[in-house]
Amino acid sequence: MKSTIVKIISQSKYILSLFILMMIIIFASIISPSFLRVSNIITIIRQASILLILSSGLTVVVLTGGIDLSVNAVAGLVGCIAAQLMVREASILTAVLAGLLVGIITGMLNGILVSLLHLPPFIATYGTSMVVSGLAVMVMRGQVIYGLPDRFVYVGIGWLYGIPVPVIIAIVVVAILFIVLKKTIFGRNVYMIGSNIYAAKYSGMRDVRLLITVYVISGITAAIGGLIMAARLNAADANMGNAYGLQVVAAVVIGGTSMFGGEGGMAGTVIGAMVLTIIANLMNLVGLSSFLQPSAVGAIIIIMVSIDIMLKSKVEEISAASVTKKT
Amino acid sequence: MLKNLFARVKKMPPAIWMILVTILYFGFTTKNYYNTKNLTNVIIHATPLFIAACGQTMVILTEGTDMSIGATMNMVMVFWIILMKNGVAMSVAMVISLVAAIFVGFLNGIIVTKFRLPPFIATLGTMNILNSIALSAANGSTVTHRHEIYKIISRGVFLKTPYILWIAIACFLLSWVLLNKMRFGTRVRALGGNREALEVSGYSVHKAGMQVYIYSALMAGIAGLVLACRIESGHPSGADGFEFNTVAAVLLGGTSMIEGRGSIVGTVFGVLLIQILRYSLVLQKISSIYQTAIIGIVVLIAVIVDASTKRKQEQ
Repeated sequence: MKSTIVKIISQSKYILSLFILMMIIIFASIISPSFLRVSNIITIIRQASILLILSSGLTVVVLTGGIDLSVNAVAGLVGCIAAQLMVREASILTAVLAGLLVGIITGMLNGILVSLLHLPPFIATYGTSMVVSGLAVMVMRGQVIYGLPDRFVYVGIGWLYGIPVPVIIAIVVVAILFIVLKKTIFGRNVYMIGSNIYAAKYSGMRDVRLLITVYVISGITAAIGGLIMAARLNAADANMGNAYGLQVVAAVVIGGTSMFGGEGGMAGTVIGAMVLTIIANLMNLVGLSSFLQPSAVGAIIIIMVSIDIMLKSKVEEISAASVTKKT
Repeated sequence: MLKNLFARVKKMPPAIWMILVTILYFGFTTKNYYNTKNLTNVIIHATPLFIAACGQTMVILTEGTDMSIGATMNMVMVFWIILMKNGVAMSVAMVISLVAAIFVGFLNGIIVTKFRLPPFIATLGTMNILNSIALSAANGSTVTHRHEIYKIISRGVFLKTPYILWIAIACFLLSWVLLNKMRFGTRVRALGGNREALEVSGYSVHKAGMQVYIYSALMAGIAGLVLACRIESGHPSGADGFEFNTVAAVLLGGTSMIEGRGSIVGTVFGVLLIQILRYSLVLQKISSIYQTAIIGIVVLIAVIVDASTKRKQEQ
C-alpha cells in the first residue's frame, strides 16, 4: 500500500510541484483574505508572465542537461537596445526585430561554445552573461531611458479581451514550446540527449545542431522577456535584467525539471513560476520584509529537490525488492 | 629537452600565459606600469577573492560548485560588525562569525552528501537563505563600526609585507598542504575523479564531501572578514558575485570541472589574472563601462583554449 503511494507520487512528474503550489495557495488564502481577490490574482498572473517567459526557454536547455545563466543579461541587453532604437525614432517593428536578433545571436554563441567547443554550459553561459551585461552598460552609457512609444508600452501594460497582454504572450510562448517538446522529433531528441548523451550520439543524432537550436530558443525567450520588461517599466536601464536574478533557474527547478536533463517539462515550469510569484505576492500582502523573500525561495528549492530525490531512491529500492521476490 | 619544455608549457594553466600577455601589453601602453605600488595594490585587492577561491578550488575538484560563497561572505561581514557594534570583543565576534560560516558549510555538506542534491542547486538554496539573513540582520543597509583592526589588517606591514598578504599566504599554504600532503587531498581528488574507487577502498564518501564544504565555507568566512577590513564596513550585498568570480578564477587556473584535475597554484594565477586585468584597465583609464565585457571575453577565451588543449592531449 505504502509502496504504491510512493510509486504514484514519483511517477507522475509534477505532482510534487502541484502539491507545493496548492499548499502555498491554501496557506496564502488563510493568512491573507485579500489574496483570493480577482484583482490580486490578476496581478500575480501578470507578474508571473515575464518570469515564465524567461524560464520557458531555459527549461528546454535544462532538459538537455545544460544550463543558461545568461538569460537575465540577454533580457536586459535586448530591452536596452530596443529602447535606444525607439528613442532614436526607429519604428517599433525594427526595435523588436533587432531585439529578437540579439537574442538569437547570443543564443547561437552559447550554443557554439557548448556544443562545438565543449565548454561546460555553466561556464560558457556565465562568460557570455558577463560580456552581454557589459554590452548593455555600453549601450546605455550609464543613463536610464524612459518614455517609450505608447504602442510599445501597450505590450507591457495593455489588455486584450480582458486578459493582460504579457499573459497572452506568455501563454503563446509556453504553448508553442510545450507542443515542440511533446509532439516533434526535435522535442524527443531534447529529452534523449538529456537522459543519455552517448546513446543519442551513437544513434546518429546531430547533437551540435540540436544544442545550438536549444540555446537559440533560450535566447529568443530571453529577448521576448526583455522586450516585455522594457514595455512594462516604460523605461530601460542596464541592470534591469538583474531583477529576476536566479529566480529564473529556481522556477525551472521548483517545476521538477531535473538539472541532469531528460526529465521534466514546460508544465512544471508554469507551476514553478507561479509558486515563486505567489511567495513574493504573499510576503507583500502580509507586510513581511522583502529581505526574507530569498530565504523562502531557497528553502523551497532545497526541500522540493530533496523530497524528489528521496522518493526516487525509495522507488528504486521497492522495484529492486520486487524483482528479487519474483526471481 | 626542448620538446619536454614545450610539453610542460602546454600543460600550464591558461592564466599564466594570459598574465604574460596582459602585463606585456599594458607595460608598453601605460606609463610607469611596472612599479611596486601597482603590484601591492593588485595583491591587496586580490586577497579576498583568492582566499574564497581556495575553498572553491576544493569544491570544484569534487565536481561540485559552491554558489553560497558570496552569501556566506556577506553574512560573516555583517555578523562581525554588528556583534562588535553591540559591544562584543573584536576577536570573540570574529570567532562567532567564523563558527556561523562553518555551520553553513556543515549545512551545505549535509544537503549535498546525505540528501544527495546536485551541489549547484543545494548551494543555490543556501545562498538565497544566507542573503536573507545578511539583509535582515543589517536591515538592508551598510553597517559600520569604528575599530583600528581594519587599518591594521588592510594597511599594516610585517616584514615589509602587508598583513593581508600574510593571511593569503597562510590560506594558500594550508590549502596546498591539505590538498597535496594529506589524505584529505587524496579523498578530494578521488571524489571528483573516481568516486567508486574511494568507496571501495573504504573511505567514507560522506565524510569527505562534508569536509570539503566546511572548508569552503570557512575560507569564505575568512575572505568575508578580510573584505570587511578592506571596505571598513559590513555590506549585506558587498560580496555578491564572488561565487561566480571564484569559479572563473579556479577555471582560469586550469582546474577542470570534471575528473578532479587541478591545483591551488593554478588558482593563484587565475585570481591574479582577473585582478591584474581589472587594475590595468583602471590604470589605462578605460571607462568602467567596458570592463565587465572585456573581463568576460578574457575568461571565455582562456576557458576555450584550456578546454581545446586538454581535448587534444586526450586524443
